[in-house]
Amino acid sequence: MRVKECFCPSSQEQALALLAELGDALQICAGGTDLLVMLRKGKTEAPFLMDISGLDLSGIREEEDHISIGALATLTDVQESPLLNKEPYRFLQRAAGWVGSPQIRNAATLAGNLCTGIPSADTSTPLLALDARVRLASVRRTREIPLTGFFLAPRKTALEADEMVTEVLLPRFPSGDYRTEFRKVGTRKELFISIFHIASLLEMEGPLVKRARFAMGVMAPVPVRLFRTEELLTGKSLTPALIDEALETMKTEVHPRTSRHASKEYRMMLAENLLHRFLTEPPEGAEGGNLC
Amino acid sequence: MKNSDFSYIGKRLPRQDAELQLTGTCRYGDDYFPPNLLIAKARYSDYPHAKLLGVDVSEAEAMPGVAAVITCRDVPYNRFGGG
Amino acid sequence: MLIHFHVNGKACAVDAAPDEKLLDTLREKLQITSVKRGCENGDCGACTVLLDGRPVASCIFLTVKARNHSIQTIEAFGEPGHLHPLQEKFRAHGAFQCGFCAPGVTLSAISLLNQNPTPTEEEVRRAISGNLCRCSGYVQIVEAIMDYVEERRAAREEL
Repeated sequence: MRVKECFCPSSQEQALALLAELGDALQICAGGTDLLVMLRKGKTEAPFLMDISGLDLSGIREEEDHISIGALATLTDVQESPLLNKEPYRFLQRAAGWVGSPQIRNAATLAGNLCTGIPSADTSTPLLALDARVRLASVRRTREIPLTGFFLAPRKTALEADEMVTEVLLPRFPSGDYRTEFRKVGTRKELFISIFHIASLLEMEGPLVKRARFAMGVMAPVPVRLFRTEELLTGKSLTPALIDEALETMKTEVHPRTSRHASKEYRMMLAENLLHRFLTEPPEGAEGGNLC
Repeated sequence: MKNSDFSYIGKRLPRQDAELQLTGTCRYGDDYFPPNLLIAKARYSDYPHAKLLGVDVSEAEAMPGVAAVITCRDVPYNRFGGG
Repeated sequence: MLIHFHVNGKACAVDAAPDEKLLDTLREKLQITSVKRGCENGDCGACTVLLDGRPVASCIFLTVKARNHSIQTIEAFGEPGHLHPLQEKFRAHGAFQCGFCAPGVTLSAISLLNQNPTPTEEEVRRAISGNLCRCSGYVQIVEAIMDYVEERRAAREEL
């Protein structure tokens, strides 16, 4: 079915009114890099499109208690933002830089990467590790939910039919001894979809772990936080025995499946090896990168 | 014979179509738009090794913009394949 | 819907379907065939154009989104008989074979050099990583760009 019309609202009110009126019949287009592929493949049937690029949602701002990333901020904007070029946010910039190619990153938005609802969305794991929240707006209300509650199933998010994401919010982290890493695994160095990705964050207080956050992608139907693994490490010293225990705990928190891209055994091996590497390598060693 | 005796061997020659390629002015197959251009697309069976019971092109022929639907029946002499 | 935008410095108005892609608009309505149809999936970069100076894949870019923006194709930078100095370097180094990827690669490189006149080789490779070349192995492409960078650096030092 061809698209009947593409609306170009110039205000938030107009956009929300259209969503209220058309609901599921309306597809939001921000960067369009996922939407247009889906349209070409006939995987989406919505008769109406709404191009939101005319809305005032592109900034990355520092507020008193959070950093706000507007829904139209592109992955390039995230990569280049001076506000995110400090710990513990740098691994988000890294992850943004691993999506697609420069051409894709110049158009694709961070919010859009999340709204695909796919477990391979690279920015999902650092955002989960950062305790990010998303602000959702409709004519009925504006609400904020933690990102951990945003992914419901593959390609299904918590967005209701009349809602759109307006901002992604990151908490302000006090200065501390942070170590963050993002790792993506796939078949080449650019233009590839993850078969596995992991975002890790440690805040140390001397030899003890003050805060641990881990998120993995393509290890479950949606990107997941490893809550039990985090709790296990918090307040403790990273001994080899504890690290082994952490790896065993991690295995209970994920359930990878075999797809045509990788077997579940391979994915589990990646998860174990890369989490182990993060926990044992000295801080300078880990730049974050891809592995083939 | 020495290389200096040759016009081309051993010489550095400019690529003839470099300028056209670099400026995007050389035209590849897809860049020609002759008048009355028809675009053909092949439609294959969705089912490999299946038994072909029939081919009905009437719906396709009726679609707006379709100039012709050609099947093996339209080929006058077919040395390959069955019947 | 009538879409107004600039192409290579000229104001254009195009009647575009709501789901029309910028690639199709440029090639078929504006006859700019230097923008190539490759994978039509955002994966190869042959359709690269500069949008407000930054490379985007026009095959997955709604024409509607281009309204009020500035598009540049390779025609903005060089023409036969009057090549951009970077194109001269590509020619001197024999960078391209079939040439299909050339306009896209060149646009990505020009965009990089406008933002960063002295990139490292790694930065150059990253900048053109969204442009796939099936012929060359990228060796002479990268050498040509680095040669251009070096020449510009030397020229600036002389001033």
